[in-house]
Amino acid sequence: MVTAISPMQEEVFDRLAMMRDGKFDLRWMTANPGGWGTHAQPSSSGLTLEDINVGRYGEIPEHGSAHGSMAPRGAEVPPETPSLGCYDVDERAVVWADNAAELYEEAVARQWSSTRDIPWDRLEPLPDEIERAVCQLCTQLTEVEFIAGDLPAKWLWRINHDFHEVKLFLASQIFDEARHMEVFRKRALANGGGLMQASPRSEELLRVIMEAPSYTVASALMHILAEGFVLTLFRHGEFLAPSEVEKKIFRLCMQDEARHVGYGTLHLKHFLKARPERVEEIHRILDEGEEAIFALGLEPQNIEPRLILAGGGVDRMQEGMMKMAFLHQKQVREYLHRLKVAGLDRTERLRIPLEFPT
Amino acid sequence: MTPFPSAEWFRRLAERMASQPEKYRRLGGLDLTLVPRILFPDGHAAQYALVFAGQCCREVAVPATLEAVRGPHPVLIEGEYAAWKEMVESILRHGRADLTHTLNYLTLPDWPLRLAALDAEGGQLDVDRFYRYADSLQEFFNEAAAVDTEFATEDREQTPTISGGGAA
Repeated sequence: MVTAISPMQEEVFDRLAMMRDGKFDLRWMTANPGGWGTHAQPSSSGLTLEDINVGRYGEIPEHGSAHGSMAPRGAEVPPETPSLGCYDVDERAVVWADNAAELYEEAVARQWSSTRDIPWDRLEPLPDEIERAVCQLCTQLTEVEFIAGDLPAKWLWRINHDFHEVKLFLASQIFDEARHMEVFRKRALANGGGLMQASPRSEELLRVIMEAPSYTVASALMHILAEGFVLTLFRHGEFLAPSEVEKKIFRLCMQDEARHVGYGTLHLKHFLKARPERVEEIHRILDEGEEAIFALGLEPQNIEPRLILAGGGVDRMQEGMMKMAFLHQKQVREYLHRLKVAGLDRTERLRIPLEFPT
Repeated sequence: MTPFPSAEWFRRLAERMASQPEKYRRLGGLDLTLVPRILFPDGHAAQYALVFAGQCCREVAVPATLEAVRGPHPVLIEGEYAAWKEMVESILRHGRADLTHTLNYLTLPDWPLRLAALDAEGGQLDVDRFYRYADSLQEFFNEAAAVDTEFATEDREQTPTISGGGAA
């Protein structure tokens, strides 16, 4: 059977023939002369992404390149380079955060393994109601944590490659969330309990986040509101931990979550500075998100396990409520402080009560 | 014996950190100035500025006031002497902070220790750095397990001691 040779194959064979004859192109060797001679210097931590942002390589464009390809920022892009047609999130204002490169480096340096780094051998049998509370908390966290993987994944492939710092950070976040989903599932299944009840209220909040109409709006909802609240929840988890195992899990997850919150806060700051006229969009989505997260916070399968852990048992849940009241205030206060750093004052518009309704 | 609190005591922790580069490299670097402030019953306070950069505590300073603190992203961790002493004693006794004496446990309710940003511009983001480096900072304080510590008393008239010797 004779297979027709396509024009592309013909070109390849021609090139091969020329190479056999000792005729090489070599034009690439003189490409991008303005980018040649770069000597990026390592800083104290090694050679970081920020260290290599020197000269033209460190020029972050306000609008991503129009070629629409995956060509790296600072490289020479041949005119025939085809657009991939998908990079339509291509304004710096709608993705950038000044700490994205730093947070990516930090994420890489602080990777951990739920298999290796958690002292699983120190798990001990817990009273039944405490184990059930831990398992319900872990069920909830297994359910919600990967929203911070799915949501960045939904937008990541659309972000222009000129903002690679942001893309790399979001990639690290997706892996962080994979690990969180993994570690909470493992804990639920490791000590005689198991996964318990899923949370309809969580799904309502997750839907608001997934359906957010733009990346920045989604980021404000997820990075600052949701992950900010989860960060406090992780701190609370460490506080309530009945053993070294949960202590370590929550402490390591806390580190990861704080990076995500840090990106979201400085992204919103960058966005509001560049697009102050769009502040109302952010307010509106936070109105919706705050109501959803407040409703979620009082869902029995969400709050009651924490009341059991805070009080020390089912018969002491009301004591737990007093402790939770303080935590709620702290959660809301830190959320408002982060928004203030980002340039958004929601004190008058907050849809969550500052005082916990005890 | 190394008195607590003192710059010398914090320097012992820094030396322990520097002597285990692989452990702290694996935990990840820090970029933070932690300002432990110990409040004594007689009303005076002792404060220290621990400048963390990369995998090291590069400097232990004794600023005269909180306003005099120098270093990136300064975060205050403040509490009464008795709370600090109890935390260090827990580390000395167990080789690491036990469940109710971790930095997070002691600071989450804002009592007995509390966190606060010292730089208005950094604000909550600086406090968030404390959370980002939680495991490294806990390991840093756990180094106290190997420091023979001499406690100042709350009224500063007696000097009971407790020995550390276990590995952190």
